[in-house]
Amino acid sequence: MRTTVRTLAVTLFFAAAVTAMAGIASAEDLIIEVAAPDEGILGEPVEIAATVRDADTGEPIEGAEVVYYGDASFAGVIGEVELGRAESNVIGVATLQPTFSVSRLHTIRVELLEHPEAEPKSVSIPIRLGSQLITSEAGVSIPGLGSWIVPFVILSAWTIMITAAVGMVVIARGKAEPGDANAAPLESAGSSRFNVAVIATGLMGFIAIGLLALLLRGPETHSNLNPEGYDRTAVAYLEASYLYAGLGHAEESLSGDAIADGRVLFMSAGCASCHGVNAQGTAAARSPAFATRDWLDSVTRSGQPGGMPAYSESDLSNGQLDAIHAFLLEARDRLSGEAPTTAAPTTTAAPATEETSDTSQPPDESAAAVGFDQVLPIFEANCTGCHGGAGGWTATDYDSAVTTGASGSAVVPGDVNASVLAQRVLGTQTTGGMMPPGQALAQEDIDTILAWIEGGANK
Amino acid sequence: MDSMSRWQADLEETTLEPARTTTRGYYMLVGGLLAVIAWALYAYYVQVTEGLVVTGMRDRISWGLYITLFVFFIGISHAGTLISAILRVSNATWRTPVTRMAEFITAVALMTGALFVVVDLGRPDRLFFVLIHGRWQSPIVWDVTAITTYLTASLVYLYLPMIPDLAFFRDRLRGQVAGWKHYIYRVLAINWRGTGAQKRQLHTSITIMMIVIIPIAVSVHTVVSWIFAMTLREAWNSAIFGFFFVAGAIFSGIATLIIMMAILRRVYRLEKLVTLRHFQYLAYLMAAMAAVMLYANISEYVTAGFKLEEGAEFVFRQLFVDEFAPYFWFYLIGGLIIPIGMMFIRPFRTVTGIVVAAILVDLAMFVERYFIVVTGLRAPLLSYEPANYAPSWVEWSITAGGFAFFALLVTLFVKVFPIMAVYEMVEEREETAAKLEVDMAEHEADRLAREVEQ
Ligand code: HEC
Ligand code: HEC
Repeated sequence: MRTTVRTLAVTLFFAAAVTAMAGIASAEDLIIEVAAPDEGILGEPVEIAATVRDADTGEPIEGAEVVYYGDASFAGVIGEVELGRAESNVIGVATLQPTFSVSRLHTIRVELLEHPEAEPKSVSIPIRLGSQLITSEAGVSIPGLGSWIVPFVILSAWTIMITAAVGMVVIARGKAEPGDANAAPLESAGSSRFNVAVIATGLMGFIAIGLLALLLRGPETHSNLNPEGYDRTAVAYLEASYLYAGLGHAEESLSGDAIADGRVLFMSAGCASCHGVNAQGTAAARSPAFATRDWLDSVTRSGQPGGMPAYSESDLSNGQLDAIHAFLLEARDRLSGEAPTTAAPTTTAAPATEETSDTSQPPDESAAAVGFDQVLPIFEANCTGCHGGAGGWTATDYDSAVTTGASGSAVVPGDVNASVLAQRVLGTQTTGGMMPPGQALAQEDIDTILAWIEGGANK
Repeated sequence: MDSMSRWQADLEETTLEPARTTTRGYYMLVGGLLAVIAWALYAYYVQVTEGLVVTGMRDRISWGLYITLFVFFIGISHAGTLISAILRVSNATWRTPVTRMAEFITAVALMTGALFVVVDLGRPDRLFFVLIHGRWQSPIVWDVTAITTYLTASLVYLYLPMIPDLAFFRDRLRGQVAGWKHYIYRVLAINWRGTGAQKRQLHTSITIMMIVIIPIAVSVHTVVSWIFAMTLREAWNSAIFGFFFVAGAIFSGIATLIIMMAILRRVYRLEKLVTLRHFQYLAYLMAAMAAVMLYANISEYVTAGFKLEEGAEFVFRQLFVDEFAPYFWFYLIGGLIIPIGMMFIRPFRTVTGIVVAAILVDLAMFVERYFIVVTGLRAPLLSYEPANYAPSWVEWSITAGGFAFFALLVTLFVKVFPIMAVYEMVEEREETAAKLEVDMAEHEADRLAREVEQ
């Protein structure tokens, strides 16, 4: 947008105007100064004032449009969101009063809309916990009657209980009075070093203080929770005051960066509700991260048994699917990266078959040595749970492994590129998902399988 | 007084007996209970590792058997403290043989109940968050507060009157029981020697506790009911939920007390101390509470049924005629009306008859807790098909484990601690005797005076 002709024209016009006004000063010489309070309070407006001046003369500039950005994170993506815009007044001051709904250190960056070259300024404001974010307007307020009653009642109850418990301590002292002639002597009571009465009373005091502390220091809102790594509420911690149009309208806030947009689309189209916010897979549906672009297309357009709906082109355009795929590729790297022994498979789609299998091919001399007894354990550990003979490729024994497959034999002895099996474990297949679903095999297992096929798929 | 000391010796022997001798049957019982608990632990292990998906709970019906058990056990816990405190405050002298058992039940049921809240969590470690991030706008935090307070109070209230009895065990069982057992008595008897100062102090402390524990007990079950009533659910939109729950708690508490009493009486041969009279008094109390419950039900359903707001129809239908009708009518007829009726018929006013009524009541109250929890969540909030819930094997196993845990704690308690409040019983009898003497002396004086006049 910044590079559009219109912007350029306005910039030039502005530059010309300013130059004309200040004589020698040019557009690049505008400076911004930001003033903000030392700290803000949750839910209350914080006044951020930006003063725009001419760098050389110090003259205030009127009518400059200032944009305020706040730092934000959404579903693991860290970036900026626009907080709002303001125009500088006669004395060159533009003010914005955003409210924050998360208590943390907020960094606000201020930029001149039409002078991107003027150096942006940042200011950090810690937002303290303050009042209740949402307070009901309704209700009757009775003077003197407030929530302090709760701790008071609890305090009273515990004080009374502890009074009774102190009685135990008195009993344990076991002092005799003159009238207690027939009471047994203290020694016969076999006193112990372990004074239960004192311990119990102390414990009660401790619990009482703990409960009161829990009540008194209890935050009024949940904004104190650190959202890091807490996916379930990813949507909830989008800060309310930001320009966020709601998940259904997420397209409006697409940035043009394919991966980030893909992530937003993955949310807004509802994929995340079944596949997980990070495309990691859930109990409802496995991770879609290992799908090729074609497979993604066929799955999304036609739906999947198990509840996945079909999305038409008006629901999700091909361009949007591209973005989702970009996000899925990134997710694939992330997911593969989590398992230390697993190599991240090449992320390019089908046509790259040759290149990929070439690089992953083992040296020739070991190839001949690999027999089925070496690959069977890999199949048994990773595949036979699904490929146990229920249709399609069957991995349970040699004969099935080399002859079966959904469309012809999955193994072409000696030809890695033509073997669907090899493609599937490498993720280079033209159709279908990568195998095993959700998580690539360990690189050494892939090598073994490739070597076995390369060596003629021997018994 | 010869009969007095014979009676006292008898009482003392009966109370000491369980601590002295242990039969094979006892070990077998403990072994059996431990086996059930071990199985439940395995089920819990499955639940923690696989997640709550192994239970029957899902997004729409997210509370089931566990919360039912939580409410049920917290309810039972009112057996003790509330009953024994009310009886103590009202100075009902017949109470002394039953109070100790009632207080045992309280402490044990509370521990079991609180455990089920934890079991209901998919991530039990997050319990810690209640402590560090707890907000007291949340009913859960009220619950934690109320239950902690009540548990502490009932432990103190159980312990205080037991001090003299523990001292008695300490003195009488020296050399007769295992060293560790005697050590426990020595430590817990906190130097009790029965001095005047000790007696006075004990009396004061017990008096304070018996009074303060009544409002605490009432608050606990009220707060438990709020967990439901504060939720936006048609079936739980009730202003009398607190009262309803407390009444139900006392009701099931009495029933459990009757059952426990019958078992312990049989096993430890307490027939002479715990008599039919005690069962009958408790049974009358139970029948009275059944009437209160009946009335609470009428109040609850008639008010909602009179207005019949949108949504109420669904709730009523599932309760009265559809899926939950068998449960509801069993509860209403089998658990409330029949037990009342039984108390009007003389042949049922025997120990067996009363125990049967108590079992009916406990079953009915369990079922009631169950349908309150499940029907409330089942009523759809939007126009979708109502979900259904059936507990899975994991839930049943852990439930069995919960009951076994309850039984195990009672079994162990009874083995180590005095089940009869010897001190209080003796004191009470002495007082009665003394009063009798005074009465007699007055009578004598009157007679003499009259004689002199003549
Ligand atoms: C209602 C739940 C649901 C939604 C919404 C959903 N999916 Fe799926 N998806 C499934 C299920 C179920 C499967 C079958 C895979 C399985 O059994 O785990 C599946 C399979 C897939 C697969 C194939 C995975 C493989 O390894 O073969 C891809 C790719 C996929 N989904 C992508 C998406 C995308 C992209 C979206 C959003 C546009 C989406 N899904 C929305 C439930 C869903
Ligand atoms: C979670 C179940 C599952 C596991 C585990 C699994 N697969 Fe698959 N596999 C499938 C499904 C479902 C299909 C068919 C859908 C598709 O094509 O993606 C399939 C298809 C295939 C195909 C192509 C279709 C055919 O029958 O010719 C091959 C080859 C394959 N898998 C190999 C493997 C290998 C090798 C492993 C182990 C490393 C493995 N799979 C593990 C579920 C699984």
